[in-house]
Amino acid sequence: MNIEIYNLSKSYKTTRALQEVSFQIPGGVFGLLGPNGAGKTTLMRILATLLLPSAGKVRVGDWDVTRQPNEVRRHLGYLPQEFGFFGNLTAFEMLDYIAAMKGVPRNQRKTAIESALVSVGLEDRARQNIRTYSGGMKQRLGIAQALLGDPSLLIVDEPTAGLDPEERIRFRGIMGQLGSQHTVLLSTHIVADIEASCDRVAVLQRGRVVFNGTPAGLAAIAQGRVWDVELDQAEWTALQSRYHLISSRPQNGHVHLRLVGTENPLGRGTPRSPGVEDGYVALISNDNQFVEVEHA
Amino acid sequence: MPNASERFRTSLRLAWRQITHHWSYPLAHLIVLAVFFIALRTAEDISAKAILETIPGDIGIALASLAGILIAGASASRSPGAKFSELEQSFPGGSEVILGRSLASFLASILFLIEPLLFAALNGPWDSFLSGLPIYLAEGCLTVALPVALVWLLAHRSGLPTWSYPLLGMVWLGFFGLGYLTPFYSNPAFGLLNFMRHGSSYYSEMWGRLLLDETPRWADLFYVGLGVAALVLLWLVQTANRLHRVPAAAPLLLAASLVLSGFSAVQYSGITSDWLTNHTPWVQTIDPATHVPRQHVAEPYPFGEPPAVEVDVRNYDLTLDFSNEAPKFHATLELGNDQDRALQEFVLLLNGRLALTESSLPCEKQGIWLRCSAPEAFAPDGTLRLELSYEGTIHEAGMIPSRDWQLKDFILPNGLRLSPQAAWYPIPYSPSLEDQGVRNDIFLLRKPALVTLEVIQSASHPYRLASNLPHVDANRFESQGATWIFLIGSPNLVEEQMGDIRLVTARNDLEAVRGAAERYRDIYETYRTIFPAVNTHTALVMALGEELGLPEETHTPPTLEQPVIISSRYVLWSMGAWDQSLSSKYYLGDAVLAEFWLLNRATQLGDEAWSYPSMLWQVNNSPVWYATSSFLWEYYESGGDALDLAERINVRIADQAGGPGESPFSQIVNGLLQVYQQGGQAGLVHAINQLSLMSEETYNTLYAENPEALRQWIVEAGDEAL
Repeated sequence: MNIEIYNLSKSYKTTRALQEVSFQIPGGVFGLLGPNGAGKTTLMRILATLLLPSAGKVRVGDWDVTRQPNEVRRHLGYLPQEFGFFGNLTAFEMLDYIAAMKGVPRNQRKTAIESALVSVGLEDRARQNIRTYSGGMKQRLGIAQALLGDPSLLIVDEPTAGLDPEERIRFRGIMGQLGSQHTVLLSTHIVADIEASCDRVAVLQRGRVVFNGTPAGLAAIAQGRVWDVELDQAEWTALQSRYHLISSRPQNGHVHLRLVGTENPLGRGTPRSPGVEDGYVALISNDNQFVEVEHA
Repeated sequence: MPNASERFRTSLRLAWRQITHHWSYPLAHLIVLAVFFIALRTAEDISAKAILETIPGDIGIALASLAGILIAGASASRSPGAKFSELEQSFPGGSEVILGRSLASFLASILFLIEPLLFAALNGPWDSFLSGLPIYLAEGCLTVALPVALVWLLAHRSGLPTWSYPLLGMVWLGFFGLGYLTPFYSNPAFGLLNFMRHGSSYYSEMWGRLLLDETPRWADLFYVGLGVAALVLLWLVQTANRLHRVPAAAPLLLAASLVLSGFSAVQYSGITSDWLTNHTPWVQTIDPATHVPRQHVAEPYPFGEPPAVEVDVRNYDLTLDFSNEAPKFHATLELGNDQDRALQEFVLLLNGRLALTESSLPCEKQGIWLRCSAPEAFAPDGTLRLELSYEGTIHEAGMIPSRDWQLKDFILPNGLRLSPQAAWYPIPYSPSLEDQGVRNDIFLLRKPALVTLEVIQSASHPYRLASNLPHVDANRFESQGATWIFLIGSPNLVEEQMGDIRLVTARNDLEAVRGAAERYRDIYETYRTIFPAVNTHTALVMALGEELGLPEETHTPPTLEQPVIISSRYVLWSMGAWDQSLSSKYYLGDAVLAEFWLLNRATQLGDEAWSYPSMLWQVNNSPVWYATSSFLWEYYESGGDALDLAERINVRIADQAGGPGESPFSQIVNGLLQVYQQGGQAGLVHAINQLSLMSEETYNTLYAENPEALRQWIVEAGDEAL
């Protein structure tokens, strides 16, 4: 399913959350990356028909999200950043209720629920009360409910926040599988999620799209600017205003650093191939200058 | 649309399950059940319909509406509380989910009406339960629906915090408490906001609820309007939020429902304000000097100086015609002038709602006042015939202790109740009685009149009639002497002859008041032997409800043919065969004695016996009467056993304030005891006869300060019989 966003703006009383955002999502797993407060959730909520834009237009498939919200909802699976279920119901009962809400015919509900539960690996826990679920299980149940009704578009907002590494890895696997059958819009500020799951990615900063391309394209922004270097504390203190730190590790009384910067730090740095995270940091540090590395 | 219907049903089912499967729901039912079967079990003696239409039924609705507030709050807050709201907002659909859930709240709330219904059904009788069921259910559902809809409107977007539940409960209790805590609640329009159902009245097994005019209909429509408005608003807000448009019909429906609600409230207030300001024949004021309540004709005399004298009515011939839609009245009065001067005009009182259509003399009516001119000088000791035709209906209200208003005198399709205070027949205005200003006396005649009363009933709503006047046939009454006319009619009215007692009551009360009626019969038969001069063969006992007016009067004057006792069924229930308390003496013994006392005086003194204030003094304030009533009560209780009587009298004297001193009370009862011990019943009859004829002046002059002399006088009176 194709999603088209034209000059989308959203203002709250004193804040401009989105400013003339335009891009297209052709299908597959599309990542939406950006620091906290960049406008990701606002964009997701507009796409999920929960919020009206101040200006601009959004089309999901053939439908306008403002004028035809119910048509969009019929083809939508949504997992908000924060959500919950009725704890006194079992997973099956909860999904049965949601399936009815989504208009899944009564005679197809059981199959649809079982299929969704299998997709997220919860089929053995279907008859347990939700209040007994761990955070990761609830998150997977969230995905299961989003899959009900066989939606063409899945919108998933910060799905891995707060998950332990095992659950996070499992989650990325599920995302990868879903991308082959659905258009998935995955919002996150965790770059590794994008790296693992997304075909394409857009980066939002201060309400504007500052990048739209592939993860590799995002990584390429940092080409020739990624350095590994070992410094003592005093040296790093002197240099830190000119570099962006990717990682640091203490070693033999020194600090082993991975930095993004235009110059080789003190001439002692070893150049490295950039990853998506390096590209993202390089992009964000570029302070809102749009970098059109690769258009869709 | 099929999806919408499925969503509605599914959300209804789930919300229902979440409400009713929570542990607190059956617990709440148990609490309500306990309220009815433990706290309200004193209401067990009234009929099922009475239970539903009075306090127990109101409490049932109140508890259901309170439950509705809490259930709706919890149900509406469930999604926001579980952080499920955002998820479910992404599902397709309009407002059907919210409507399904709010309907579940409503259904779960009205199930709290089961307890009062069960309580009522177990009380029976079955036909009474079935007849009360539809109105109770309808009003209960309407009353509960409004708070449920309002809370859903308030809470459906973001839910309610836990701390707000007690607050909502307090708001609800606040509406309930307004009736008792605030003076402005005396305006009955506030009854509209009572979640215990609109207003209230005491229940009458005879006439049902005595609510004012069409106030129930307007109150119901007020609730319908507000409830629909809340639902439409919920629909509108929900649709605007979800579909980003306003349903075309919603503003129109909202406006229509608000107009309906507002119009109904105005009508309701109009009716109740009308009660407050108009058509009340009398008012009660408190004398600032004596703090004694006094009654006055409410409207000032409109024709100049109020009259200083009055005419007598010697003969009433009254016809009430209910065969047409508007009741018509015809009264033929034979007037007498017992003043020492000729009268050019005279003044009568006739209810302000009644319009004079014809009169045989030039008469002018304004409000309650009817001034007529005599064609020629109305000479002393002369008579004058006056014929009046008038029409209209009687609807008089009074305030009951909970500050609600209820009908008091009325003509309705399901019955009528006409007391003299409604001035439904022309009553000569008596300045002297108004000066006395005591309770209902301003609407009594100073002297008994011959009365014939005929009622022409509507063919479509016939009902049984009863009056303080003796029956001639089903629709006709006659008395050779009555100072007041009280007429009631109802399909539920029953009469039963129990020996010398003619019991008039409501069908559903009959069983419960028979015990008290049997005691009246025993007392009546005993006391009749003490007053052989009184030629009466039957006593009328009317066991009515808590209607305002006459039943609160223990000592309603008799007619010349019969003692007339009108009492509340609640008093009579407690005075059943088992009760030996002083209350029995007051409500049973004194009630019978007062009738014999007055009849005895009337038989021997003629019209003088009825003159005010002596009549009032005789059976209310006279120490002679009070002591005699105590003696006779012990005489009745002892069965005439002289030893037992003596013991009882000693106890009674010891119980009196001040102990067994030389008080008038102890002197009188000791004197009567001595007479009985020496001369038996014959002496007692003679002594009591003499006592009953004693005037207030005689007592005050000769005996008030010298009670010993009174005892001697009693003993001598007893000796005369020997």
